[in-house]
Amino acid sequence: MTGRGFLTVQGLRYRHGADVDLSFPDFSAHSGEQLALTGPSGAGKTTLLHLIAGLLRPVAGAVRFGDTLVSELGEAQRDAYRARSVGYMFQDFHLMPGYGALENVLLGLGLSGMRGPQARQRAAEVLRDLGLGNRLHHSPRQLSTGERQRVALARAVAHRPALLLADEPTAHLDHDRAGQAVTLLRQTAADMGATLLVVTHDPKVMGAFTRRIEVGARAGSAAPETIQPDNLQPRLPQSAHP
Amino acid sequence: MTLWITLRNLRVRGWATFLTLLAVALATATALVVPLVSKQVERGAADAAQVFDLLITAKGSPTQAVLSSLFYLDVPIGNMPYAVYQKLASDQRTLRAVPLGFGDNYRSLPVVGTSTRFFEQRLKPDLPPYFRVQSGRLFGKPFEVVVGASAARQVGLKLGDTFRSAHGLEEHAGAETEEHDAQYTVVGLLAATGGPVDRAIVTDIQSLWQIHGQLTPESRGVTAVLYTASSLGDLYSVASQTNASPGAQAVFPGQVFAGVRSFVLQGQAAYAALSVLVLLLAALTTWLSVYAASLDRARSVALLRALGAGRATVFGVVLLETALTVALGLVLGVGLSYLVSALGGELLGSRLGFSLPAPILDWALLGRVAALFPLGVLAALPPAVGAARSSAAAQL
Ligand SMILES: Nc1ncnc2c1ncn2[C@@H]1O[C@H](COP(=O)(O)OP(=O)(O)O)[C@@H](O)[C@H]1O
Ligand SMILES: [Mg+2]
Repeated sequence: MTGRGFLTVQGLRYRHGADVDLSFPDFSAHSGEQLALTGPSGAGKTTLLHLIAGLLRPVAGAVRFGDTLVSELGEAQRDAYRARSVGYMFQDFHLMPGYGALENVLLGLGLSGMRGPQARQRAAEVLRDLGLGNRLHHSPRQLSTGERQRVALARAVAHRPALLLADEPTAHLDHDRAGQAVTLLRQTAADMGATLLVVTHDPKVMGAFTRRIEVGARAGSAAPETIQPDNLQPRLPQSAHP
Repeated sequence: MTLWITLRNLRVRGWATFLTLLAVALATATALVVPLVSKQVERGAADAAQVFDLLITAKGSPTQAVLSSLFYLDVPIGNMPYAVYQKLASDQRTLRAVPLGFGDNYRSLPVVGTSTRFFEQRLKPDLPPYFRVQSGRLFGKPFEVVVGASAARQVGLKLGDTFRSAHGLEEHAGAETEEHDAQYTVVGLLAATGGPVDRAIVTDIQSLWQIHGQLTPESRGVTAVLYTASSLGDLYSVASQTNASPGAQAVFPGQVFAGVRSFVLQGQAAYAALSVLVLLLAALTTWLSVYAASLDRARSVALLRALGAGRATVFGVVLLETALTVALGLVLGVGLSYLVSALGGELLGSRLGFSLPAPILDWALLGRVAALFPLGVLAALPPAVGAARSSAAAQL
């Protein structure tokens, strides 16, 4: 089964050196679906997003997005896939230091192939929609944490990616703002029809999602751990910490 | 996109960019000005030996003759009788015979006695006179002097100033200097040539004769004659005739110059060594700033990769950042060397005794500048390769 926004993760395993050997649950998400990825710290959530984004390659298993078998792509193709099809909100936002909000968004747009006045217009529009219309030329240092988070969101979505990945998007926000941020993130993804994966271990964030995947079950276990919507607390494995 | 990112990165690292720019500009200016200085000094020295055909002195070492009479760096061999000069001056084959007399100094600057014909000497017959009065006029009677450019600066002599000379070729510390009673008046200042005359005080040779009580032609001495013949044939006949005579020798200065060159340009070696040091320092600074920039670049490179920039793009960004900085630094450096030779030429002149011509933007110069470019960009190659090889996920 394929389709523009259809994501499948199957038998995925990542190894790094002698110490890191991570297995991930199988799951799939249909186009426009919104999922939460949960699990304790060190479980491999960020690694999973990196695998899906094509930043890392698995030693086994497959990541398929739409018609693209991401895990089999060569590096240059993965770069292009990441630039065009993926929007990524990094855990620490990772805005380009010294670049203004507009420039950060333009950077993402430029790498996806959109340049010139058209890109400027689009970047300004996205920032304005996210309430940053009067912050276009502020550098990350001149922005509040919440504003930075929204610039990161703007950069991740400006090129209208079919897949939006967010790594702990609320980790640096206080309780109230976290709620608003998740609503904004989900609303933005929904407006674009993008498939959304949000890594979080914030119960409040988890609660907003009807589908949750737990990462970090015992290595080798291939069972997808989809938690029921009514079960708000994820089950934490006993030996989750490295 | 590469250029777009590059320009912003340069802006973000404004200070580092500025410092690299400065280092490259200084290195460039040094590389351009140093040969200019050396060339100017060497040319000044060489020219001084080319404004006449033959140096005629008392018999002795030709090297000593050139060092003493042209560069004031040695004691003269001795005086020749005035008659030797008189005979040369009235010879049919002579275009010009310029007498030189030594023996006095003013604060270690040689007082050179000559005639106004000294100022008719030229490098080629169709060129203007080589020694020019910058301000004031030539001496018109005994005890009027014109002062060389760096000599004037060194002891602060101005038009209208008067001074008394001392006996001997230089001032002797401690020893009671024997000052003459006669007083000189500065009536002219000479334009700088880069050569030894810049360090001299030039007067009518009559002044020296009067001071030393050589009142009759028989008692007068001439240390050297700068001789120019009417034709090449005349030149050789005068030379051989002089060498055959008992009281004098004729030296072709060009032949001796090669031998005394290293001696005359002694200070130049130290100066060149110093410039190499400055150049190395500038190169080191360039490399350091390029290296420092590459350190805080690791994160932004990883970020670019994570956003989908390919290896070629980040390689290009890092290399272009340095290439642009180095290129701009080179242009600034060329501008700086013009500025140095325009403004600093005066300053250098007072220190080193010559004025600096502006560099002429010819192919040789452009070649030298162009050669610095790959050298600078080479510094960026390791960080650029590092950026291209870095893993996108590692730094995030
Ligand atoms: N490139 C890597 N180098 C070293 N260790 C790694 C690397 N990638 C992942 N790990 C390890 O894998 C585990 C999972 O990390 P991560 O995916 O960041 O977990 P989470 O995001 O769930 O907290 C950690 O123990 C981490 O140290
Ligand atoms: Mg993580």
